[in-house]
Amino acid sequence: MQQEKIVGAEVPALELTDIQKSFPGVKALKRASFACRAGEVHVLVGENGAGKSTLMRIIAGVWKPDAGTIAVNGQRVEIAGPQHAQSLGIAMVYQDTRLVPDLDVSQNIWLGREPGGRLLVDRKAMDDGAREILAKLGVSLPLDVPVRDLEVAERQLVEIARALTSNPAVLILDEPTSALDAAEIQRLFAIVAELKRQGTAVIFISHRLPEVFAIADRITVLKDGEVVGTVDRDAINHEQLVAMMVGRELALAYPPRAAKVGQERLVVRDLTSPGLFRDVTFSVRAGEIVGLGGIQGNGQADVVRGLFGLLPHEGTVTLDGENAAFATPAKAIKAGFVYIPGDRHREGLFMPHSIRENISLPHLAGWAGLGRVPADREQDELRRAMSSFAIKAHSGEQAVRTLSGGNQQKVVLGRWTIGTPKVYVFEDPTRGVDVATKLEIYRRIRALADAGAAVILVASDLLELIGLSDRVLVFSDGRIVDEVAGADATEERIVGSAVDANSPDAQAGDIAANISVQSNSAAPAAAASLPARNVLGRYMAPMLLLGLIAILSFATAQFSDFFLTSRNVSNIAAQVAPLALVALGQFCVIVLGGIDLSVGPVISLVTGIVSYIAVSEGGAGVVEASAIALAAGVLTGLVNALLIVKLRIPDLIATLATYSVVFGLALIVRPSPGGLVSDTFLNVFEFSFGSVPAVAIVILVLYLAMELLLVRGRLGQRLYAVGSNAEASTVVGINIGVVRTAAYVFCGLCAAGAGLIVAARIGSGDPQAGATFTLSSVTAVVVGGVSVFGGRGTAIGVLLGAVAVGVMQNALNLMQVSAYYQYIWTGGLTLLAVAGFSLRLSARRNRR
Amino acid sequence: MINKRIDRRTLLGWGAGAAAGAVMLPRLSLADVISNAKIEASSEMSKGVNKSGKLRIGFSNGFSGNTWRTQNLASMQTEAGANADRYELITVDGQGDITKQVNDIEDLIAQNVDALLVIPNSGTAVVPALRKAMKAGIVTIPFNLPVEGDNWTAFIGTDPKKKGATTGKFLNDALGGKGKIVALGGLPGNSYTAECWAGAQTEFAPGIEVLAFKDAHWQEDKAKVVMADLIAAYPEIDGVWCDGGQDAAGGLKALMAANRPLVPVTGDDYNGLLKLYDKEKGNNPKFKIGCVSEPTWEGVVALRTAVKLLSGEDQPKRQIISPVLMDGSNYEQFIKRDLPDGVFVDTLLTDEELKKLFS
Amino acid sequence: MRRAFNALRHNPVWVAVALLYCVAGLVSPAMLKTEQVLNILQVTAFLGLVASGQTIALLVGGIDLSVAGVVTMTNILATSLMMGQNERIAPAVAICIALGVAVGIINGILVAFLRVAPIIATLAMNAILFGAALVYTGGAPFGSSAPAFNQLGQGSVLGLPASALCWLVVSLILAYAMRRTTLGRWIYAVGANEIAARFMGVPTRLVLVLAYSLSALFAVLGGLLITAYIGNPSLGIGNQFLLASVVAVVVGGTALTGGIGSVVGTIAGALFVTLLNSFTNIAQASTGAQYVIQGVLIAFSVIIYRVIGESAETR
Repeated sequence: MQQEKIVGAEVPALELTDIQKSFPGVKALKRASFACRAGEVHVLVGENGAGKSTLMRIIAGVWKPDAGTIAVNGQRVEIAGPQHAQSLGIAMVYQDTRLVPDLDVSQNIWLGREPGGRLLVDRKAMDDGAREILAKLGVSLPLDVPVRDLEVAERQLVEIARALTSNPAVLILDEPTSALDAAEIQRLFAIVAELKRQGTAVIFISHRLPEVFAIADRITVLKDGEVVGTVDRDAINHEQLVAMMVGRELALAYPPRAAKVGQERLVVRDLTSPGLFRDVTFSVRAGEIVGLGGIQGNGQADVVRGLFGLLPHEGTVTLDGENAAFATPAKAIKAGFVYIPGDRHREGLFMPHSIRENISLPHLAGWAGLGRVPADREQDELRRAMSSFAIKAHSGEQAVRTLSGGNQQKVVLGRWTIGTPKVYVFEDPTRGVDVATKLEIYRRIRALADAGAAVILVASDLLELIGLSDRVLVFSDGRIVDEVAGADATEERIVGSAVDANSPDAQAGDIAANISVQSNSAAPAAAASLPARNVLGRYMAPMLLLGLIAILSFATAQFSDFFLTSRNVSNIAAQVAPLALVALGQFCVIVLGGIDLSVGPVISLVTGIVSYIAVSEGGAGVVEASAIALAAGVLTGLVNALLIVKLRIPDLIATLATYSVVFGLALIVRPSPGGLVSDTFLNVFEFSFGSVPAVAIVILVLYLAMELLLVRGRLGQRLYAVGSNAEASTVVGINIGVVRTAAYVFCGLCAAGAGLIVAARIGSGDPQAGATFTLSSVTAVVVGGVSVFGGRGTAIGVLLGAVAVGVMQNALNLMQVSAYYQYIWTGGLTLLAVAGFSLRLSARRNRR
Repeated sequence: MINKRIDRRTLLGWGAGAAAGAVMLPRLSLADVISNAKIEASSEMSKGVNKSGKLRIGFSNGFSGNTWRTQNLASMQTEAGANADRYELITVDGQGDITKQVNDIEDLIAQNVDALLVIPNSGTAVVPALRKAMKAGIVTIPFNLPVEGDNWTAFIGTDPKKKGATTGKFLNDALGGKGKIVALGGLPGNSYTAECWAGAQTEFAPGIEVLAFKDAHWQEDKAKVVMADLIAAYPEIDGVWCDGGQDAAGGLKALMAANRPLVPVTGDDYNGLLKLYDKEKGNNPKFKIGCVSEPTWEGVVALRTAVKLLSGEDQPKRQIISPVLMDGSNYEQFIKRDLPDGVFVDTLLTDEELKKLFS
Repeated sequence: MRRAFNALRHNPVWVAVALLYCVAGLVSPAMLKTEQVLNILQVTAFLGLVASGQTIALLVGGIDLSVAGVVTMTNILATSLMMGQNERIAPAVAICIALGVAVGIINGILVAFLRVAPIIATLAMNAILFGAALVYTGGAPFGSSAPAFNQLGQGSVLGLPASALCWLVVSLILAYAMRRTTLGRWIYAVGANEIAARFMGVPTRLVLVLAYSLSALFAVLGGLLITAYIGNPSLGIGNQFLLASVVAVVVGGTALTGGIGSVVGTIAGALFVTLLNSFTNIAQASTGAQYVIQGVLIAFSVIIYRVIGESAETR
């Protein structure tokens, strides 16, 4: 293990000097300096909020430092962005995985740096490379499974593999073990050792001390944005390290534990929620703080969410002797049960709203039922909450969004000083707040307990958990595996209990056994049938749609002899063509999570333009008209992109504005229908091979090309990545703005193309020509199985969606369904298809 | 969203002599109506084709959803029902969308119809589709609204310019060639209103001052809102020119709401306008109406023309139904006091049939 | 005074309404007449009510495109049920409201429980409602509203148009309820952060259903008022509200992302849109130019709101 001496490089692989970085309200880094040699494992430790992640993100090029210098191999550099960092040989594995759930393993591993040509990626090289890298890590994963179908640990491996594709000189692992079990941790350590042997500088972030001592060559301690010091692993022991991490404030930091506790208040017996936790039994007494510990994600958070009525569960729960099995949070709150979630932005705050509204929200029903909120009482309670927590703001009407992180957290906590709750559950109550606020929060929590409340604490920071709790319950795989008095608790004991429970010779929980057996046995079986399964997964919606079209066609053919004639089929092809082309553009926008309402007016405008230019017989004007029309489409797309990407106006509103403007222009260009288009123009766009319209063939080819680009092209990877997880795309260096701009321009181009086809079909200009295309294109895309939330969908599905719309219209005509019922049919079938897809999706979400 | 449905409620007019006859007889056969109507047939003829056996006649309705279209369709269905042994009527509906109508026409061609009747959503947009129908040897008859060019077999309808001239002359005479008027048209940019308006303007004496021309969508509520703005803008409005009865009724309601005396207006055979006139003429000495209709039986004429052509008879290329004025002197003969405002009174349907339709 | 200034700063749409009115008055003095002011107030009422409901849909982060269909359905039903008779007013109104709320509940269930994207769910509902109106009338709408009922749309109280009073009273009650009652505050909370709202004990799905029901209810009220204004059925009557209601709400400062905005802002937004239409009517702008101006103003107002929001943040 002591090979770093062999490398003994004079010049550090990476050196940071006096790095500073501030965020609104927080000084995250204060003149932090740090160096890492090639071939060493350099562990960075520190409490939550000490600045570790900020420092690493600066190295990885995600953020720019306010001041300070960075040198790679002695060369001073300015890291311009994630891609630049990668080219400098720096790779980072994020704590919360930054993968694109809708892309498969190979695609995720190579995202942003795929091998291959300009257009298409070399899938074989990707698979070979991915396999090789995974083999280096000693694992094998199915390469064409979407990452969303992987276990958490497997995703972590994919992230590490991604980092290794660039053969990094510096590899940063940000708390890589938080979601891993003991065996997986051992495997990770072996990988790290191997990388080290190959000369990679590994920066490893952790706050689990046993791990730190197991793997580190050197250790740097960060605290409150400052580097406390860097030491050799052999030169320090456990206690000294802890002292460095927490300083002398350790003793001061935590208020004294409860001298005596009162009656049992909350009693939980045999609480079970399938797949999450099982047979959980514990109690909390008045005045007691009970910590739920263990490795993150082992059921601690789920148990309290279950108690709070957020997850279905079985078992008995009593509060002061009364039944307290709550089905909804409202009932829990009413009974005096308070849950303060850890992710305050996502789960705790209403950012645009005032402090007053944030604080009083959960109490409104109690004060006023559904009726009028008593303003005086609200003001009184607000004043009390703000002063008792010393929330710094101009007034209670200030928007929470404008407060600092610490003050925001005080709002989250202050909201519950109102009333007299009986049970408090705190989840990571000090995440991302400064030390002074931390101390205050600790004091407040203890005060609540002293006042007689039962307090449950769930904290990922073990030191905090130990420091604050009177008793710690250790969770592993959804069960309580150990109980330690707070005074006797140590990180080793807690981690040890959690890990021992997982080792093969220990009495592992049934759930754990089930999970591991499943994943072990499922892997080879899945690998065998993979191609089929994934084709099935990707093309499920299109195949369902194809079935629907087949049934509709069959029924119509029974009713009408004309349906299957070549003339009618060729009609359908020609009718679907313009819709299919617009839908292709709309698809690119929707797959990014946007929408483009301006396509309809673009079509109208194009027919107007064409009706002035392509009018002379003999062919003049066809090229000019097409060019000007396409330019108009591109211009509209650029304006949309400007409004959405640069001016950050929501898609719907931005394109609503361009809808109105372009429609106005179409009316100005061609106030009423007119201007017969030349035959040459018609002949070009209405040309057909036998009975097959040429435009239909062109559009089919476009769709096939798009599908190919989606599956095998650089473009597809970018579209899905940005639509699915914009942040993940940023960290691999994809320029989101460029991708979105391109999508809107392409959409405008498609709409203009469709406009040319429509102009040929109606042979004139008409300001109403495109009126229905805006909505029917969205309908075709959505019916084609594309999620309006982005990241998911296939071009083939969209084509079939457009075909379905066309066939339905044709079939309703041939079956002589009255015009009145046609509206109802169209609306009803759209709802049916879309509700079907969303139910299927949510079923899948629930399964996971 | 933003689904602008074209509300091209068509023009109604009044087939000249048909008026008098229609009221006196309980049920007129079409032959009577047509013989009483002044129909100018062009000297240019289209050749008939002899087709035996049961015929298939397709009808592409541009949209449905206003009462003129409903009455027209009901008349055509009644006619087809009476001739079920000779032909079958297949109706498709463009839902106000010009591209859907083109699709609809193609769908009818694919079904090998013998004749194709069309009320176009746009007089130019259906041109290529009708050309395809002609190429396929289908007898093609646009009616009610004209289609550009001559790629069709026969046309049945009115001449909007002439109708406009008739109403324009009425308004001019009612005002004695001197006064300030406003004009309310149909949907923005529709060519029919434009032609009517052009015809009307030819009849105005120099003393007629046109204050404003606004689109009122052939909808009472729109017309009332627009007219209210105009009333505020212009203290003196001596007359209102409209090409549709709903615009006229909406405009009059705005005048009444502003406590202004009612003035001469023009319109068509919208029952609501006749009823309004009937009710208010006593209180408003200057109130006059001058209306020209578009017969809701145009579709029946089109059907009959189609059948004649398919039976080998030659038919005129154009049959133009000439407008005659309906005013205070003869409106009593047409008004249907017991039927809803929405009824267009120039109809082949009996009051009982209308009652059933409007319930 | 300071408070008044701040109120304006936070409601720039009122400044915009005042500015537009001054410009319109300068260009065409007819806009300054009392009758014209009353006239604008009278006709704003329909859009105003529909847009007030639309505000709720946007506040919960959704959108309700079925308002057009609901207005048409209300107009058709109300006239056919009243048949011009005063004694039938109550049952007709009750049935319209019941059906409208039922539509809203279905929209809400589609969005909250089946998780269909609001734009798609309400759009499909709009098509279904229009089809239903066609089927119900057979394309030949009949009946008319009762004379007493018409007073709501055409009459005046103390010199003010009754329709405007209805709109302002009902919308101000809604505005008050949104800010001052538990239900209203829940709607804001769900729009700003649905997950957090659930964690605070808010029955989020029920709130979503309620929001779409309110939106539909206000569309019914708007439909009833425009029916009282014109007295007759018309199948095309609702379409004008589809685009305009969203525009009025957005111009009034409500964000599409949910949780931000106010019914009071929408009142101004509806006034702005109607004023603009009236002004372009009087100033004889072409329909095309009208659309161009409207589009530019939408983009412009959203940018203004963001700039104001950000300046408040850095303050």
